[in-house]
Amino acid sequence: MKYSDFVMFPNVVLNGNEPFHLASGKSIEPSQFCKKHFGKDQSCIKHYNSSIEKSGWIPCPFGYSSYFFEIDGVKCAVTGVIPFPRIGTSEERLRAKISKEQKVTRTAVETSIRALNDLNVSDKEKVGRELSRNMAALHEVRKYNRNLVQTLERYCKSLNPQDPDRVAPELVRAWKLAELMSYQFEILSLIADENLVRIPPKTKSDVYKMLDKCIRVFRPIASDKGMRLDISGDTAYAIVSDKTFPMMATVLIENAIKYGAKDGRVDVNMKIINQNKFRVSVTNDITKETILPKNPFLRGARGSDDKDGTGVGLYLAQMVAKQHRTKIEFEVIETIKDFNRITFSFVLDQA
Amino acid sequence: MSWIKVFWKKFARAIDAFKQEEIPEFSSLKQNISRDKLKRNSRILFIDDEKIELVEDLKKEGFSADQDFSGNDSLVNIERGMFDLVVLDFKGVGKKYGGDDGLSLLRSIKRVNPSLYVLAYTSQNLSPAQSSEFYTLCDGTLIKDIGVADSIQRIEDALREAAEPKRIWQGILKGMGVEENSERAKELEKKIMKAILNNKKEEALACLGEEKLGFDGSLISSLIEKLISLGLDHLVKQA
Repeated sequence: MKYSDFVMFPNVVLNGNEPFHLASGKSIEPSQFCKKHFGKDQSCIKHYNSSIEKSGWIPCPFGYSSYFFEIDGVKCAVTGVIPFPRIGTSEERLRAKISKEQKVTRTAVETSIRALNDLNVSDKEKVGRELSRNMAALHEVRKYNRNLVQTLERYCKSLNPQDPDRVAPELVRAWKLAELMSYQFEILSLIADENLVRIPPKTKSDVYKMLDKCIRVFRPIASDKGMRLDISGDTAYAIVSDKTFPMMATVLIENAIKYGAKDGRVDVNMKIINQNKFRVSVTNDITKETILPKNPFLRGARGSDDKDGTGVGLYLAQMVAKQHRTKIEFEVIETIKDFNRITFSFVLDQA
Repeated sequence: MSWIKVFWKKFARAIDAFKQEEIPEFSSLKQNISRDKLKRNSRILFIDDEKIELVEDLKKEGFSADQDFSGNDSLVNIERGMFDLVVLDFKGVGKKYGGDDGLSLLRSIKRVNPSLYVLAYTSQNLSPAQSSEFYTLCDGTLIKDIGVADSIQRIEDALREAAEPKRIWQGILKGMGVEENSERAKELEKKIMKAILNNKKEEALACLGEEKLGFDGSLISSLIEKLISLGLDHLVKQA
């Protein structure tokens, strides 16, 4: 675990070196002590690991205390403070004598965190409203895109009625890119209206066929990176929401290409587990140096600095998975070859 | 006395056989209709305020498809069961039915023909309240900017789902105001199934004659006709 794995109050959430101003007006300086000791001392690491199961006030081994909480699924901590009322350890008593400026009332911290949470909720609503307004403007663009997709498809079909995918590659590429744009618009509309993931799935869908379609759309992008993109396995039906479900496949395949190793492979597979269930998996090569966030499904967790990701794709995909009463899981398999392999998978009920 | 015993045994066996007469239930059947027959027997209605080229694509493929630009004139035909699938836009349609555009129209459609298959067909972002109701009431979505072949495939899948005997039967019961799992429903199901097995529409309709129809009788009649036109040779027992 690294110091940066945590969003630490008072110094990080409020962007850099600004102290954390509590509702009472008191300001707490960033805890240099924590920054110095974090990750070096075993008892310190154990203290932060305990936040995985616990929340609230927890005493640290050096006499300070931490307050662990979550905002929008992101783990946060107020660290290096001495709360009042005290927790009551002997280390705390000693620490309180040395670090007078780190003393703070519990209520002040908790009230400020509640305020931050409220701010975050209203901020999310604001983003949704703004995006919704922009989507109305994008509606026209979507219309043009529909014309583009369908005109190109009709033209390709007129050139080769049996297999319109096999005409001039530039033409097919333009067609598939326009189709890809449609997928992106669907993702945007889901960001603008998260209510869509609350609508119960009710359409019986051939999942293999849907994945195969997705792969045909993404193949030109994969081939740009020298990647092979293949699908294999069994056919199965599931009850899905045809508004949101394709987005899950889109995000997983798109990410596999975006974060996958150049000249590597992306394998999409469907496997019937038993009479009732089947598994969908998307596996790709990753370089040995690739470091994944602990939980890539958190909003913004995989928003890469060097690639054009927004960090919401996997977050939304996981929400869609939840809508379909499943969960996307991932596993990294280390190999002795040039690349490691990473698999994102989910299990669905057969319809 | 032995002949009485023999006679009684034979009689009891005959009674058992009569009781066990196997009449399939609609829920145990699924249609296996050919693509050609599906095209011939299905009627699709697009309700959209702008011209949809997909309608022409569908016609070229052999489907029967029409477009209503306002949604104001189709409700009577929808109530009579003249369409198997409605593809419904949101913005600019159904103004006659309320302030929520396509959603107001959708509410009316589901009131007059609850089992009609409706696909949402809009690329507009709706308000959270509208989107929840619109997508919940619709039976599925046809994403507006996907390709032609995919759109046709989605429509074909929707038509197949719409032609499921169980769904049509539920529509008949809803239309008649009969509770789905009630004794009355079971009794009616047996009678109608028998009539359909004999390919007799009049007989099937006669079974319902005494019932007070909750809706316009032509909807029930059209649904029964649909069950018969699908034909039991296309209905196979689910494994």
